[in-house]
Amino acid sequence: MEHLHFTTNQTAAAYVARRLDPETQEAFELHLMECGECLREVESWRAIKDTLRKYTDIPHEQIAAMAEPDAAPRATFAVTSLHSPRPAVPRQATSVEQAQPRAPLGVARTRTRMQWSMAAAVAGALALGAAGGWSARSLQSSGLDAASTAFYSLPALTRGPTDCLTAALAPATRELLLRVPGAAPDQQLVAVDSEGHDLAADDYLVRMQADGSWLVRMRAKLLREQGIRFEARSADGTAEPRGCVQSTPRA
Amino acid sequence: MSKTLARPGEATDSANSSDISLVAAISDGGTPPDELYVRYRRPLLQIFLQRRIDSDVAQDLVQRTFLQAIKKIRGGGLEDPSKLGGYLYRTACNLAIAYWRGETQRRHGIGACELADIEDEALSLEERVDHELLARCVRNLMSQLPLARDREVLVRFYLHEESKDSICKSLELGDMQFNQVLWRARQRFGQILRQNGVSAVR
Repeated sequence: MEHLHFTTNQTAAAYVARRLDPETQEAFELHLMECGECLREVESWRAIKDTLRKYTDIPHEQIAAMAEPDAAPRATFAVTSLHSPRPAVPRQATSVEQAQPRAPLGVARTRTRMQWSMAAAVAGALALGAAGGWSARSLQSSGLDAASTAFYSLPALTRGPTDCLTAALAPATRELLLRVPGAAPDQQLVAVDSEGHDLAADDYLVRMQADGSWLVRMRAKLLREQGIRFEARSADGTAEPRGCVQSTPRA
Repeated sequence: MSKTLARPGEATDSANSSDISLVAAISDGGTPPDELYVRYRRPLLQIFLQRRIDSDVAQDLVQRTFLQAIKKIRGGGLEDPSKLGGYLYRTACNLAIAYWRGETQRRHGIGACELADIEDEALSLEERVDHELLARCVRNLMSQLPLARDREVLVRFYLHEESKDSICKSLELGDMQFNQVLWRARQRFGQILRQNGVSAVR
């Protein structure tokens, strides 16, 4: 019965795409321990996924266009070459991107400075959204506007990995932009919830900046529900803490 | 001795009885039976890969999973020997968590030479098939899918990790149509692999 359910629902495909809720994933993985057919399905899908990722040379702009379906007409994708790996070189940041503020808004900063910081962050994020360059994640969202966007910069870690930034979120805040310092080209920034589970891939967007930081975009609702911490993961499997953020209501 | 994972339909009962005999053989001491490795290595590998653990490290963690299980069986024994698979699964999950918390030191896993000695059935598809061949098969798959929309679904779902809901919405696909696209792609991929001499892929 369970096997039929998994087969009918293409669970193996969704599993490899990391699209299962934790309960279904656990049930499927336990099933996987005993079921050769589902295991072969998973292996085939993983082979397709990994090979697509390694060898396709779909331009970043096309991928970005997919992330923002409202921003561009729907594109048709074709794999043109499977033998020329796409280099993971970050796009050069604009001067606006490089000018990201280093401290949370509202902390020892003037109103003018705050407004500039917000404007810079929002402009940077809008430019990034339009030009592409975000890592391959798919936050479905329209453009940002300053009235509903909060920008914070995580401090460099000085008091250990549990050093958590508290972001004061106004009721009207819908989007959150976070600058996370300590980026490296060979690392991937991953957001993790309070129980240690990776957040879903479409919950947030990450963009590496030329100043050695990541810019993370996520819905404020996500942070209102839970604290979020960040890890910088390397291809060799190592993970380094990059701080955490929690929210508090702001009047 | 059964060398393969149970087929659907015969999965639970035969797997449970096989687990009991495996646990008994391990607790007797001596070399752990090959079947333990042949049967559980591939699913355990997927558990680690799913948690974004690098393939080499995943191989190492699979070894540690077996090691912990053998120690446990020979030490206090398993509460329910028919649930060996479940125990290995939990152990693997815990090792993955410990790994990401930095509590597990990386060690080099088994090398290519040792892999060559493993029975074919214990090797995953990617280990059995040359990377170039696999790339060619995926390229064939993408070019042979009948509809451009099917290619787009695969790219958006796997390369871009976009949600099924948003893909369905933007392409005006129903749930069943989306599943059919995946099913067609998977069937076609199996055919292409078989045409290239890769067996045991349905």
